[in-house]
Amino acid sequence: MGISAKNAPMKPFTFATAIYESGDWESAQKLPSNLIDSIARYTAIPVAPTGVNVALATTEIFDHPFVWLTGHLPVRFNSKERENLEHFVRRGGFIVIDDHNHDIDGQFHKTTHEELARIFGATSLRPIPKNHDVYSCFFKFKDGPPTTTQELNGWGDNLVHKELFAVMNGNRIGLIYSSKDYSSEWDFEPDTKRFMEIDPTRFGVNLIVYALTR
Amino acid sequence: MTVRDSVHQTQRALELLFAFGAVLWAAAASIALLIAGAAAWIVILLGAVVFLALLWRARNAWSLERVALWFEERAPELRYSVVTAVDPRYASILDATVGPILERTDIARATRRTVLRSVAPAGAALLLAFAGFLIVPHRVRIRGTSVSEHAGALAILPNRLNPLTARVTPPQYARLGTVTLDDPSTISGWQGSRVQLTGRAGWSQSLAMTDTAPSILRLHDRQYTRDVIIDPHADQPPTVTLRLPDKDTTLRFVTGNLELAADITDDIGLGRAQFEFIVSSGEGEGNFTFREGTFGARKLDAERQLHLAVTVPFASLKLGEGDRVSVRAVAWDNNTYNGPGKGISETRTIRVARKSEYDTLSVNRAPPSADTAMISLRMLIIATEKLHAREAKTARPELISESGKLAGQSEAIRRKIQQIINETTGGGQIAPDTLLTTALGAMWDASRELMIASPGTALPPMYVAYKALQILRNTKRYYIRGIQQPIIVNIERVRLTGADTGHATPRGARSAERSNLDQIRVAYAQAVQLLRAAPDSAASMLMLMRAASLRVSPPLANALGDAIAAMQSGKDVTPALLRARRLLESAPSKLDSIPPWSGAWESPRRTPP
Repeated sequence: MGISAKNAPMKPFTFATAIYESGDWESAQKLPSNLIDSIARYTAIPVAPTGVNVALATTEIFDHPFVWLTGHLPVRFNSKERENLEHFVRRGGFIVIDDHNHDIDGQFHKTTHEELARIFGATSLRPIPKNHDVYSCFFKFKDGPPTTTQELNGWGDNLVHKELFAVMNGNRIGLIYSSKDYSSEWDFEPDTKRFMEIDPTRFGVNLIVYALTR
Repeated sequence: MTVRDSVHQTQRALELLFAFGAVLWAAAASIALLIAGAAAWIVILLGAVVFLALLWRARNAWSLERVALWFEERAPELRYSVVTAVDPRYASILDATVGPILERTDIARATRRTVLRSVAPAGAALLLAFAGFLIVPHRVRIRGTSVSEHAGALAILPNRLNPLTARVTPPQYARLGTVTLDDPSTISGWQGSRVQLTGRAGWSQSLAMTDTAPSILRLHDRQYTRDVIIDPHADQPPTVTLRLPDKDTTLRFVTGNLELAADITDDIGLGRAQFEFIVSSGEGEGNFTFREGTFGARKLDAERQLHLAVTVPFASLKLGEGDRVSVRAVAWDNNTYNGPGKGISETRTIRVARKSEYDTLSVNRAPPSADTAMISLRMLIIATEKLHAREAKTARPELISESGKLAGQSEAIRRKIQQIINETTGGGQIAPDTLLTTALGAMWDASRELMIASPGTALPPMYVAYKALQILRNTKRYYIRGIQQPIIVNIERVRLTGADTGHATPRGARSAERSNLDQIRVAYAQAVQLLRAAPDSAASMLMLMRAASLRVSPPLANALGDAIAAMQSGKDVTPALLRARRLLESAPSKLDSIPPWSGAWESPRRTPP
C-alpha cells in the first residue's frame, strides 16, 4: 500500500526573498523575519524560523510557493530570470514585487513594469478590486491595501497609492505589484510590534495565507 | 357573340395578363433579395407584397365597365356605346348596331401592346434577376454561420468554390511580393496581409488577416461549402543580443571607453536601433537619483540583420563613486500594422567602486566562509595529488609524516565546514544545506585516509567535497552586491501570541485547466465516429482541429492536414488519422510500481451517504 499525500509530513512554510542580478534585492533585511514572526504570531501555519534567499535565475525558486521581491534600483531581468518568473507564476506560485521607493514612475517602477509587460503582456497587470479575497482571506481590509507610513508622512509627499496590481493566473493572483513600499513599512525588528497599537504586518499575513491556501 | 361576351372575353385575358405580370415581378424581386442574402421569410413576405400590390394596381381589370371603358379608350369611334351595350338593360337594343362596329375595331392589337408594356418588362426583370443569381458570387462568411436558406434551390452551375485561388498580399511595410496559392487548404501569411480569393465563374472575395490565431474561413455557394484555414503569422519583434559589455563589472577608476556592441535580427525588417543607459547614483533610502540617455541611435532601411557598435568615453557619463550604469540595446521593427515591435537585449551593469571599499583587501565584503574553505581544499588536493604521484618512491616513514600533515589540514577544513554549518543553521535550529553536509562527510573520509597514509584513496572524497563547495560557492556568490543575513525567529515563543485575530475564510476549489490538446483529443474521438455517418461533418471537425493545433503541435497539424487531403481525394484516411492519434496520445511511461491505492471513497464523484 502506498502512502497517500495527506499522511506525508507537512513541510513548513519558508519565506523566500528573490535574488535578481540587476538591483538591490537585499534592501529590506528585516522584513523576512518580521513576516515569519507574524505568521507564527497570528496563524497555526508551520513556518521555518528563518527565511531563505533564492535566485530567480535558478530552479530553487520553484521550491517556494511565496516569494518576495523588492529593491530601489532599475530592474532588468536576465533571460533565465524572466523565464523562471513566468513559469513560477503560470505554475501556481505567488510573488510580491514591492517598489522600495514608493514613488510614481520611478526607475524601479518603470523598469519593473517594462519587464512584466515583456513577460506577461502589456495589459497583464490589472488593479486588484477592494473586495478581492486577498483583502479578506485572514484579516479584513475593507478599504483595500493598507496605507503605509511612508505614504502618509514618510517623505512629506502624501503620495498614497490606492491600489495594488496583479497578474492573474486564471482566477488566482500569481503576482502582486505594489508601489506602497511595504518593504520599508515592515522592515523592523519583530519585537517592536509590542509597542504598536496595530501591527502593520497583518496584511503580509494575508498575502502569505492567500499564497498558501488559494 | 354579343358585345357583352366580347368585352367579357377581353376582361379574362387582361386578368390573366396582369396576374401573370404580378407573379413575374414578385419572382424577380424575390430573387434579387436572395442575391442580397436576405432571410427566407423576408423573401417570401416581400414577394407576396409585390404580387398583391401589382394586383391592386390592376384591379380595374376585374370590373366589366372599366374594361368596356378600356375598349372605348382604344377605339374612340365607339363613342361610349360599348359601355352602354354591356349594361344588361340596353344590351338587346344596342347589340345590333354596336356589334358590327366592334368587330371592325382591332382590339387584339391593343391587347398585344398591353402585354408588351406590362408583362414583357416583368419577364425581363425576372430573367435579369435569375442571371444575377447565377453569376453574382455568394457571400464569403467566416465560421459560425450556417448554410444559406436558398441552398439547393438552384444547382444548375457546378461548384464554383472548386478550384480556388488565393492571392496573399503582405502588409505594405513588409515590402514583400504577392504570393499566389492554387487550391489551398491552408492560407498562411503575415498578420495584416490581404487575401483575395477567386474561383470558377470569375467570382472574387477579399479579406484581411487581422488575427494572430488560426481560424476557419467557410465559403458558401448555394448548397456547396468549402473550409479553408487562415493561418496568420505575427511579425515578431527584433531579437537583440548584447555582445559588449560581455558581463557585469566593477570599475576602480573611471577612465577609458565603454565599448558597446549588439547583434540585431528581425524576421521582416528593422526600423531603428540604439543603446539605452540609466545611471543610478546615491545610496540608501530616498537618496537615489537617476539619469537616462541613449547612444548610437540609427534609423534603418528594413535590414534584417545589424551589428550595432559604439564607443563611449566614460568621462562623458560623468560617473561618480558608487554610481551604476545599466546599458542595453533596443531595436524596433517597421511594423505599422500593430507595432512597431520592440526588441530588448539583456542588461549589463557597470559599477564604479567607492574609494572606501579599498580600505580593506577585498573590493566587496569578505567572501563567504565556504569560499575560503574551498580555496584551502584546492591547495590540499594539489598537495595530496603530488604526494600520491611520488608515493611509490617515498619511504614509508616519510610518507606517513607528510600524509599526517595533510590530514591535519584536512581536519582543519572539516572543522571549518562544521563551523559554517553551525553559523548558517543557528546552532542546528534549521536543517543544514545538503551540500555542506556532503562536504563535511567527504572530508571526514579524506582525513581518515590521510591519517593512515593513503593519499590515493583520500583523493576521491576530497573531489566530492570540492565539487559540493564549488556548487555552494557559485550559488551563494552569484551576485556581487551583498547578502541578506538570515535572522532566526523564535517561533515557539511567539506562536499565536498576536492580540489581533484573523479568520481564515473558506476557499473554493481551483478550476482544472484543460489544455488545447485535451480539447483536440475529445474532438478527434467525435470526428472518427462521424467519419462513416457524416463525412462532411468529420472533415469540418478535422479542419477545425488542424486550425487549433497549428500553434500547439505542428506535427499533429500536418497529420490532420494529410487526413483532410486524403478525404478530399477519396483516399484511405486511416494512416494519417493513426499518426494524428499517436501524436495526441502522450508517450507511454513506465512506472516503478503500482500507483498507491487511494480508495473509491476518495473519488470526488461519490457522494457521502
